Amino acid sequence: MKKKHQVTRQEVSRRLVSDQYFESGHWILTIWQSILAVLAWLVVILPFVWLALPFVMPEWAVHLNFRTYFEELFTFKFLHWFLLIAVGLVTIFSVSLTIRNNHRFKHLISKEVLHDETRLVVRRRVLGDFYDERFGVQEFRESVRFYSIKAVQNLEVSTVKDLYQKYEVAL
Amino acid sequence: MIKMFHTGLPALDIFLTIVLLILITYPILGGFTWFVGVICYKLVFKHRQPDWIEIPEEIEPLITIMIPVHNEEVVIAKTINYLMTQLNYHNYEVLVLDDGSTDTTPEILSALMTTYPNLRVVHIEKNKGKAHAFDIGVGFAKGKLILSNDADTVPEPDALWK
Repeated sequence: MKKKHQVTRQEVSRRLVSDQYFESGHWILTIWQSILAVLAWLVVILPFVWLALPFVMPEWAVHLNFRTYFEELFTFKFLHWFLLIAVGLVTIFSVSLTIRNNHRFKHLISKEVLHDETRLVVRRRVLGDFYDERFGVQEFRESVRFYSIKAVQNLEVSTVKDLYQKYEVAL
Repeated sequence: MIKMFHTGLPALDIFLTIVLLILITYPILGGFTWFVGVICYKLVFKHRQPDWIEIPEEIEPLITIMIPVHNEEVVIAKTINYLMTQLNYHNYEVLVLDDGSTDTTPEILSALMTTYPNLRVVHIEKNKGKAHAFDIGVGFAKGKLILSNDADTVPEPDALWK
């Protein structure tokens, strides 16, 4: 058995991704984009700092004439509880679904065939016959290197659906 | 409890408020769900996929990489060159479905066909969209498995055997 060479994620990104920011010889671009990135993150973070100021440093807020209103405090407290309850519900939901999945894997997916084998065989035959008729036999279709589909050979949107319905193996 | 609706029916008010709150906070709730989901997968789920098992070259199943293209002269040559030379897999073919390109894509493809024997092209004369191209393509694909690939994306080198 010939051993396959496994490629690491780092190697893949080196091969497939090129970014002048990370390459040497572009230091002006690197500095400029770093400054922009820091500024952009400040725009994201500062509103949160600003709104959190009266809570974590009340005397600073007074010093800066930052008035807090009842509605703001109330909204904060309300959201705090709302999101806390949401985390609880999401956790219960996710854990119970995972337990259900464990059960399904153990008793269903690893033991039973979940698709209808006979329908599949019929569908395969129906489609095969259709392709044979329209584009040539299977051996030809699978070996031809260039084939041009004429406009009249194009499939209708419902071609496959209609075929399945006709042979009583509807989708 | 904040009420954002005042219909006169308290129960309805609460229900509508909760629906509205979920709508407002859904990116946050989505983030929670994602985070908790990962923890559940790591700690609670018992059927996690084990590490990749290598397939010996002799028993590799034939894979058809199906690429629907429409006016992709800018990228198609690069993509096909990559697929033909960079993948850690041997038993595969590339089937390009040229969905009525009007630029130089057909010429590029025929030039590439002389280089790569496992490149096949189905030319659809009248453009009819990606889904239609796939419907045609499955009739021409030789592989046991089909990988759908776009003209401007490439899989990682180990993707096929994985």
